[in-house]
Amino acid sequence: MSALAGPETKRSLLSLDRIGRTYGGQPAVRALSTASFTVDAAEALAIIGRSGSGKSTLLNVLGLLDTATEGEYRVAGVQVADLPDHDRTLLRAAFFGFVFQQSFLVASRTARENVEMPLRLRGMQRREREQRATEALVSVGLEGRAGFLPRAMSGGECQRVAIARAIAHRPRVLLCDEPTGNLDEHTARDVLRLLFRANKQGMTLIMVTHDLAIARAFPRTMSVRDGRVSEGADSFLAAESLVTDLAGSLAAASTR
Amino acid sequence: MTASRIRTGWPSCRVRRRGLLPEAIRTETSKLGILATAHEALIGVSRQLGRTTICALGTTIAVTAFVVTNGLSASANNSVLSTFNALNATTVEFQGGTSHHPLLTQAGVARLSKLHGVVSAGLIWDLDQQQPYDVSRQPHDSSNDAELSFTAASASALTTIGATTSSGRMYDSGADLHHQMVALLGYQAAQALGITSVRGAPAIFVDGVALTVIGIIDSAQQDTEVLANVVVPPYVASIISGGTDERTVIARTRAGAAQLIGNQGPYALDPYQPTAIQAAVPPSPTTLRAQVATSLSDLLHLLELAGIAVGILSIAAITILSINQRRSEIGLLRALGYRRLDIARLISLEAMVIGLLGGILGTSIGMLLFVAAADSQQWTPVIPAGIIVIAPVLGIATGAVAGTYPAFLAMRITPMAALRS
Repeated sequence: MSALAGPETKRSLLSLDRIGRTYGGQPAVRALSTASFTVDAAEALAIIGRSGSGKSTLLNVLGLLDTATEGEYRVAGVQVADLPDHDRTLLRAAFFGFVFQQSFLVASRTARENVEMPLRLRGMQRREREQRATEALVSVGLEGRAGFLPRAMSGGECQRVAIARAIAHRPRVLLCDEPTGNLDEHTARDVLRLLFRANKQGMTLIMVTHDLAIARAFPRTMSVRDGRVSEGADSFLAAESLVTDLAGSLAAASTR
Repeated sequence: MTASRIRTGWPSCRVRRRGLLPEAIRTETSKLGILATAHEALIGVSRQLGRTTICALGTTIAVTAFVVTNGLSASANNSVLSTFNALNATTVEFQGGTSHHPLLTQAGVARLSKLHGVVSAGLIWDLDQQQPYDVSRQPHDSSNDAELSFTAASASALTTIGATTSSGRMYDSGADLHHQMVALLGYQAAQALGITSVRGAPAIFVDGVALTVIGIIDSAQQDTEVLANVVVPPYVASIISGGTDERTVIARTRAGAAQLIGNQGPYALDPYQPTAIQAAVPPSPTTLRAQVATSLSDLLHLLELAGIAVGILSIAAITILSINQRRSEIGLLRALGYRRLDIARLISLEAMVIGLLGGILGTSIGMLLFVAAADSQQWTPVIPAGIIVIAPVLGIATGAVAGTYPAFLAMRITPMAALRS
């Protein structure tokens, strides 16, 4: 059997076939079940769901930070389940860039050194590395902060450095887990603009969010509810309207 | 069945297959080289100076102890051995005969002195087994009595034991020949009698016998007992005690001749009864050197081991704590593509850099302390040249050992768990 999949999956950058993730323990928790969809190159996709719905689990599986317990997941046609940890790490480094809710900058490194981290794994010479890091910092408008330590920067700036770090090595896919969750509205808009710009330059953008307004900015949305993934935001909206109705009736009951 | 699961009889036995990842992807990401990792480790260590300092403290103490103990051990050996070589290793003592039939005589000593390898030799013995005599400065006046022991020594014996005077002079062989009633006082004996100088020829009285004090002995390298005694020529000794004491001949030889003189000496001292004379020969210098070196170093090496254990534990403990603090950082590095081995190597190298810093600091402090300690003992500071290289290497080794377990812990951190925390 060839490691590379057939022509129909080869078109898709990421391909999930009945992917499930169950966490062991007493009792076992099925965080994700039978997720099947594909993501093409340069697509922008929002995954919306409420807290605990399984959307972060899906993102972790997509980004090879976690391994599915069932189903088949292919990245550029490569069957991920076949790969040893070492190769999965190489694939992750080559294909994915991550932006999390927290910036996770290394406190002892300057902004530029943080951005250089994934570039080090590419065996780049120092000059090339610095040039690429500077380019990435310029693209997020923080060239003036290159020598700053994270503690000397604001939350928004740290998150922008995290984006620069995620895009500096030009990954195929940018995976974002609530990247604006800790930011004010204005800064959040800046960050989203940066992410969409990266997408326009050819990077596939997948963002997990619980904010419908953000999800609506994406051409394609998927909802996760109780570990089940569905195309569109309908399932999320249905759940939300249920909550809104319940909240409304509770409020009405209390004023009565 | 997926490509990776081969039925081998074992459930879920995953066979690792190379080549599943296209070569283009495999080569896109290179390994983090050892130099790049070392650079990362250096940055990490230098930017966390507080943690690094505390972490390196244990190693600093350990390496300081290592340098000081090695230095002191070498210096002490040097000092002790040079003393032994100069004095004990070249000294032979002969004993024999009975009170009524002394075998050891001036004539015998004269023959012994002619042996090749003998530098000097003389008769020396304690009167009445060191029983003290009442000695006074005035005849028939016991108010200022001091109880002092007497040593009989020929003029050549005084040279042999390396006696020197601070006041007055030694007696010579003429004193015995001409029956001069003279005495020398060890400086402690002189203090007991209140004599500070021999100016005016002070006299002392023992059992009604008057002796003129002609010198005060202030040092005697080979026989420090005489410093507390009254030293008299053999003739005077025979008057005071009756000449029945067991005599000793002390001989100073050239370096390395002690064993030979120990064998030949009895024949020179009394050719008729050589077997009745026992020679006390110092152990061979080589054996002595080994014994001294061993006994001194054993204890010091134990101290070193304890110090190194402290160094290892301190780095290990603080690194383990810092691993817990740096979980999210390690998780992020894993997410960025650092392999488990890269993480382990980074943590190990950090510990080794800290060990090296502790080693260099410890070597410097150790050298200062050791030179100060050697100086206070008036020893020549002697340090094996290799220590200067070995001590920092010891620091690195301490770091390497200490970093092993934290590196193992860090390697096991999964990116997901770390980023969630």
